[in-house]
Amino acid sequence: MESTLENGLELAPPSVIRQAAGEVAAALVGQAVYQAFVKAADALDQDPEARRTLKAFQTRQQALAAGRPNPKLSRAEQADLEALRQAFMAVPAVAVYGAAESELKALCQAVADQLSQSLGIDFAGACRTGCC
Amino acid sequence: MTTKTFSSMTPELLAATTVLAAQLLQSAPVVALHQAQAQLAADPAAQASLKRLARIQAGLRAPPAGTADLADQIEDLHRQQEQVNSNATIQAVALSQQAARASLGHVNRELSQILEFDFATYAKRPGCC
Repeated sequence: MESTLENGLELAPPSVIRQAAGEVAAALVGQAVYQAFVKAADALDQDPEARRTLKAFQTRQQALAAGRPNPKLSRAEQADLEALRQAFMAVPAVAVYGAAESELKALCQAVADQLSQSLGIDFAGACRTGCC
Repeated sequence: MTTKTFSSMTPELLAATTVLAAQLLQSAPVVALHQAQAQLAADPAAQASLKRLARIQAGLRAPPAGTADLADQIEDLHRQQEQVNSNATIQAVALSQQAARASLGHVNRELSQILEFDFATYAKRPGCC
């Protein structure tokens, strides 16, 4: 392909694209939403109650799956697992993290939407593999 | 495409995203894809071929009228797929789509490396399939 377009504009080389992508990432990092997400993720990582309830859920889940290649859980087992999941979800740090993550996703979607609209290509869809 | 406002974005983020979009629009893979799509739009035979393939595929999703019908439909499908696969205009679009996806994948990796999470996963709207 020629290095200039029919309208006389030059094609953007990969280095320029990389730099522009880096500037978008840097602008995202500077957003309050991103900072709140990082803070919430750190707090979640350090929260003993979140760790304890998550471990309890994972341990029970693994115990139920052990030695059962295609485990069909009984109602009692499902209820047991759901109660452990709810206990984890009820930890305040988990709720804060969930809210921060939702906000960050909305911001990333806004950025991707703008790219998709300009390019006429679903940016997030085009980048992901293993779906559709 | 309809115009949207991106109210949750700060002016700095909006400006950086606008620059990235403009640079991508001038990147070789995206330019090639748009050229290939324009050629397909101007090629009635290629479009008819794709429409026929879509019709056959839709017919196969409907309940079959009989075993003989189904065999005919499958044969028809294979014939039409071959025709689509051998059409240079359609293949140019398919190949340029692959190249554009690969290029956008590089952009996503660049973003994700700095953000420390997979940007596309976060940006994907629910219910992708």
